[in-house]
Amino acid sequence: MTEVLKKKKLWIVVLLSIVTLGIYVGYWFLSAKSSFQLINKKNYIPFKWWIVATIYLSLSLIISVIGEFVLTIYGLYMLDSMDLILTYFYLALLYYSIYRVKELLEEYDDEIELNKYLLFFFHIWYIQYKMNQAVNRGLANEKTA
Amino acid sequence: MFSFRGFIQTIGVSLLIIIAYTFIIGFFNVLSVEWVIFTTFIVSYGSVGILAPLWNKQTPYSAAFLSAIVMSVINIMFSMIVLQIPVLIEPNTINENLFSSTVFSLMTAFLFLQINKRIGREKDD
Repeated sequence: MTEVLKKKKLWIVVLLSIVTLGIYVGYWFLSAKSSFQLINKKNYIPFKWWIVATIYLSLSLIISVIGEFVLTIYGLYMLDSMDLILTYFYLALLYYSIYRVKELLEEYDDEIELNKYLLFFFHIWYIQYKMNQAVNRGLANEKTA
Repeated sequence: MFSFRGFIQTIGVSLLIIIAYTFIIGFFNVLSVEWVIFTTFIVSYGSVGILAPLWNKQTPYSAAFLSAIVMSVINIMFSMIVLQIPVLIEPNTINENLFSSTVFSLMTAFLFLQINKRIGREKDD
């Protein structure tokens, strides 16, 4: 179990997802791809869309910084509107993915049980917390064995 | 898992329902403009909330949410291209539109699933 799931410091995950304005969430999914594929090769997490989302979020951050100097007020409003529409798509992708991760982890380990409401509010932070718990449990079991 | 075919079916049938509904209320001309907008909103996003769980049984809420966003985007594009209204220069309106449509669709999907569950339970009894 310890080989499959990767442990990450929770406070770093929380801090990075806030500081990077959500870009880290995309990176988190892509970095966990190998772990999830080891659990079940036929998982339903749309990693290709996460690549697109991560690239878009990075570009959007750059454009919104540069846009202040380059675009007119109408251009900025249009950029805001486009960002809003894509943010809703991003939310759809995020919530679809985290509930697929929930199913994957619960299928993999009987001791992992994710609360759907906590998952809704804390998304990848809660998943990472549960993954860390599973890794620690695995390490403790190895020591006692 | 996520049925793309079901998702396209939801969008297509909802659009057909809106066309039929607006044709009927336009033909009989019984409602004021405000009521036409309000009832069209209810019919379009209500139908999305009902049809998405029907054709996407494994991921009903994701399907309802995504269908509502796509329907809103279609509406926005229609306003821009056909009616020549520059809606994209008002991000607050876009946000209100997306928020209300997704919340309404999710609520309808939730109610639809709860009613279905209750009917299923009563049938089992």
